[in-house]
Amino acid sequence: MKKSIIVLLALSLIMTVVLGACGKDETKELVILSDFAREVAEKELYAKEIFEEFEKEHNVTIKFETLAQAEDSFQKIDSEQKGGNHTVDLMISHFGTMMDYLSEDYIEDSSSLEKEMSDRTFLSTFDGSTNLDGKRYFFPINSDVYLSYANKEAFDTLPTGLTKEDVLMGNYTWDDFVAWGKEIGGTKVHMKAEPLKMLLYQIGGMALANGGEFPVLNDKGNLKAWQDVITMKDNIHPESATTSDSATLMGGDNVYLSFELMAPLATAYSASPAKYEVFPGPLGTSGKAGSIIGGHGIGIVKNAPNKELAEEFIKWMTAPERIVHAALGTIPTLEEATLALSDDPEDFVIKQGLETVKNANVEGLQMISDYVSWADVKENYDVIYSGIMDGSITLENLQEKLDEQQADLESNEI
Amino acid sequence: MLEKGHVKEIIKSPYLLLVPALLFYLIFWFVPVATSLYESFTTISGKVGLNNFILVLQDSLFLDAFVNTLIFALLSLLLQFALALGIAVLVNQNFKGSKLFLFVILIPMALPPSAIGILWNTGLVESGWINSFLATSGIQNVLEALGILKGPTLWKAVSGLEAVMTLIIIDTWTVMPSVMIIILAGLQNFNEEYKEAAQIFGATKWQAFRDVVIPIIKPSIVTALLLRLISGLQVWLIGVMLFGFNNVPFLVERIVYYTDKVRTATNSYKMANAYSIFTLGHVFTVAFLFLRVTKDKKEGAK
Amino acid sequence: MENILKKTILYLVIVFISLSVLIPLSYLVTISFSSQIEVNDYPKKMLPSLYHNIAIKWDAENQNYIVMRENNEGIFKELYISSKYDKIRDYMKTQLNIDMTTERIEKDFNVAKDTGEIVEYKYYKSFFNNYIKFFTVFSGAEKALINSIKAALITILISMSIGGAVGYALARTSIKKKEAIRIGSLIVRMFPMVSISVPMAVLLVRYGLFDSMLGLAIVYSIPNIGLTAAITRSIFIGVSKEYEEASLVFGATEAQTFRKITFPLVLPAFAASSMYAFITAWNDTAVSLLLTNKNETLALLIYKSIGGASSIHYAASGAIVLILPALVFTFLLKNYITQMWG
Repeated sequence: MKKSIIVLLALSLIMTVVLGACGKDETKELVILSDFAREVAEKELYAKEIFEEFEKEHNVTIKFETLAQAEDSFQKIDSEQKGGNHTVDLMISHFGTMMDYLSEDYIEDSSSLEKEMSDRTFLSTFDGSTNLDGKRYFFPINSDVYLSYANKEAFDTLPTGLTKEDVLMGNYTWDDFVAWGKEIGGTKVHMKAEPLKMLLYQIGGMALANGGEFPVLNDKGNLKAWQDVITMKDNIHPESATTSDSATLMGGDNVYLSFELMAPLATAYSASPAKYEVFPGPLGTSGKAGSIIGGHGIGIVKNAPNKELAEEFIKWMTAPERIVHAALGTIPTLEEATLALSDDPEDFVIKQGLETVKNANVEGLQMISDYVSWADVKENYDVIYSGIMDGSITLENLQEKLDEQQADLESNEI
Repeated sequence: MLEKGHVKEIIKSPYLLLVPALLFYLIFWFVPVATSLYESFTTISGKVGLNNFILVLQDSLFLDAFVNTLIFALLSLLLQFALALGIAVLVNQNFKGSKLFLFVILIPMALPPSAIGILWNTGLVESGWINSFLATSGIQNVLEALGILKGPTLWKAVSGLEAVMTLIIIDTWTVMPSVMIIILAGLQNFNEEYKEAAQIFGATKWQAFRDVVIPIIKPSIVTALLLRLISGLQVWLIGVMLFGFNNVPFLVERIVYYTDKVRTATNSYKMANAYSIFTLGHVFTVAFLFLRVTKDKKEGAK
Repeated sequence: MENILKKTILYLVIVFISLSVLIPLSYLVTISFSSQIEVNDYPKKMLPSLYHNIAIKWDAENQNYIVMRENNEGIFKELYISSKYDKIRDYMKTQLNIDMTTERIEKDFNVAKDTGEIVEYKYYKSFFNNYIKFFTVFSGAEKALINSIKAALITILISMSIGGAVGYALARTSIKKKEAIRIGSLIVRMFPMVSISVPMAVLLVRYGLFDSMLGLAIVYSIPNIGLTAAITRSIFIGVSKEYEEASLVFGATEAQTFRKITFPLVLPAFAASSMYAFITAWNDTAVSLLLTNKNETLALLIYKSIGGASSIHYAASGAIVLILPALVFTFLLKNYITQMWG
């Protein structure tokens, strides 16, 4: 018995070595590391709509990889650049993390490539994130704004004076939103409050609607935003503090109302479209809605093994007919593509998003490079939120606490 | 020139057994650790000193992280030890189906961290499987009738000590088998005849267990607990998976936080290294104290 | 009488402990077979369901079909509204894991349209959908599996030989400063690995160990050598020296004694520590992410495939795929841990 296990172990070792040695394939491989299109269904769509034909045309296989967190992706690129073993050709990054790569000089300057693609107009909203010192590094592929959505049952308990039609048209204010949450009762409102994630963007959107600035904590618009959070404090679902996306909580009927980014909203909506209504975000004291615009872009990694192929791929992926698929239900970042949207229900959410971009107070993320650490900025917002939830920050001392965090935020400026 | 006898002596020297390990660590481990040590004692401006450690002490979450880590390590150790010893003795009874039982018990140990994250994240949420189980099995109704519960419990909406306790229970579920198998391996070497002999001389079963079995398997117990203690003091992943960063701070969670999350902040790299050295010192002290307390005099004489 | 009571209690305890392990696992397995919709169901089922009860209503006013599904509370809830059969097919496939042809949908749904009444169907799920998708979307699973086995075995070999030697030296030889060596071997574990994994990876790349299983195994062995030393030391101490002495008296050589007497006695210790080594190597993604390129391990392949996805049913099926070989290993090994002797 003892002997047999030793023999078995030895045999399997030999076998694995032999098998491992002969299984080498020789086709070229284009490696894309992505912080976007992480869901299985989204990858399927990418494979079918974008990769398949390109692979055939260029006789190459595309390896599309996603990691759990943007930090993991950075670490991977970081260790490749430092260790000198280059495998990743293309990086798809969020606007908020692009500066990390640019400040370390890990992405190729693609200004000349941009000139080659004179047939398309990339929206200039994101130049602050994708470009540095007048040079183009990343090409935007999608953009994402905040919209509202609600479980249909929530419309049975609208506050007095508010009609369903008004809400669906975007004719309602943040005060209405707060009152609605109260009227539904329980803890049926979601906030994107997981630490170090999205809270600042959500609050930023609320503040922009009030004519406030981003990222600022203590101006009038921001004060109003935080006051609204305090007023609806008891109606916010406690799991908001550990769950950034509302899709699961909405899906499980744990929450009914959310001011959410288009991408997770689309996930929830496509699972049971009959269950929800999607509508523009609430209006602020400025009379307009507000939203931070996020999104992703693609760039060539320094010393990429297949640089020319990578350039071809960027041209391929950002072509107007493909960038619509690449945007995955959010707004495609080419003017040519937004003009070609249809009347299909799939394009309905995208159109809502486009309306928001046109009519609301919006702001990109180009200011990130002004701060030593963006995560520290996130923390300034997190501190206020957790203070509100544990009761140590109230309407009385809010301004004072916001001033404190604002001072901290400013000390973080470059 | 070495004489022949001399060579033979060197070959037979027991120190030779340590050489591979020493070489291995020198080549593959020492350089990164030395770098980290160096980084922790120099400031970004290149000054040598304890500045980074002072920064760590000033970190607003340091105290919480320190206390949480200690509570977690000690309480989980106690709980895991009690359970692991009990189950190891139970498996060792060699009852019908004991091998199958052992296999079932060992399963959680084989789960990858991501699976642990999915399992408990889907369990602890409001409409998760824990509440589902309580509801469908009728336990929920019983508890509600007794006035203990009111509606579905929000297991994840906890903070501070409650969150640490939640993590202790989950960690125990996951790693208890790894403590258990070391104790069990120790028990396997124990000759039943000793115990029988003790019982013939009039010892009760409990006395025989306490005075004969425990001393013999003590080296295994000490090893198992020491290893667990070291790992327990380095907890972070399960905390971050369930509650995110900053919500339930731990010492190693701080390291990851400063290396990954606020990577670009001034001092963050230095802070991470200082935290690493601090953690090393912390673990070392606790492990050393533990070894002192559990020191076996007879063993030293061997 | 007393005996029966004792046995009953014993088995009750065993059943309780087993259930507290198996119930969470059965939910994990169920999630891995769930469709997107079922993930959000409440109360959740403990065992995977095989079918959905679907009801179809024709909304004559808007010329749309309304697709409803019976949830776990027995209530039909509206899910999807559309008049296009191919859209309905796509929806059923992606959200409910029901694989149907457009023709079949047309035929079934037309009944609702023609009669104007709500019609109910029982549609079976494509049961292994999540797993199948897992292997169709991501290629290279076999190669990754072999790589994982390779890395795990080399890790076991390195930690057993180097660590076992230290353990033996600590327990059985007359070397000095044992306590210092023992603590030294554990300090390796005391230093948080997370903080040195990146510089270590960079270092290994410089040694030319990038993209090889040996390179991975070396990193995995770093914490495991110390651990193996600790475990084997404690068992070598526990093993009675008299057996070895007796064997030597009867004329066996030291090598023979080790092979025939000592080794079988410490086999449980090696089994226990190889369990640790195996699991470190098998489940790792952090190190392999930095150190490999074409030669991925299975854990890494799964991680890269579903990393960051919020669709937990795919993540769960990936985890189950990863668990299965580890379970086989555990199953084989358990006999060596409880190797009764004497």
